[in-house]
Amino acid sequence: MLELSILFPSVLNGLTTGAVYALIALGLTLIYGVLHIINFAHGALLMIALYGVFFLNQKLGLDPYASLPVMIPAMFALGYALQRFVIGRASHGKDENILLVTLGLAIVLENLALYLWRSDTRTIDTAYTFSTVDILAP
Amino acid sequence: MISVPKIAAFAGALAVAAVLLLLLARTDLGRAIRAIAKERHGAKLVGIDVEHVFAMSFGIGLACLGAAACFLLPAYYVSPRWVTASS
Repeated sequence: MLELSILFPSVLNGLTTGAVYALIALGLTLIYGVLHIINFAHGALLMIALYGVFFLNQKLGLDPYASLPVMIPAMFALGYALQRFVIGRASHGKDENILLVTLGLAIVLENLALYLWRSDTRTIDTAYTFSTVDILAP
Repeated sequence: MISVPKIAAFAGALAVAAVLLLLLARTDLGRAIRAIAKERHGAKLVGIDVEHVFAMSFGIGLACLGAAACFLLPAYYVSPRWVTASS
């Protein structure tokens, strides 16, 4: 049976998860629109960014939301440097080369993270991790 | 019932998207990005520094990732196999 008390939270859950996925896709489609390449390293770079937030929390005790003003400029600088000095330099202006460079970058980043930080899944504990609110509860 | 980090992520994602829309619609960089997306050689001819705009748009794309990472981590986890484990 389709119950409203199950359907409604599921829809909300999907909407909120989808919003973050859309934000990630926004970056991907911006790069695709301008450079006409699919950035295969996008997922690996997201993983690097997640580790950045994780270590900012562990080493400096920074709240994940407080690390926004740190992470956004840091990732911007990383992206600028990557395109300027790695992807642009290695591709010689050919689109198919850029494709391969980003794919290689993804493999390098993923295995570098595996080497440096082991394959444990990690998460952070905040006061609000498991807090919930009722929205329009039937 | 819905968890608080997810609501924050929803609001934050919308806010970042709005900022990105404004940036693309109003600033000189946004105009340059749209020009290059449409006509790369034409943009080069009218004096837009294509390499700079390439790097800037790659940087903005990754800045979105930085924001998404901050919104994701309170509710999710991270591991080097994050990319493959979650798909």
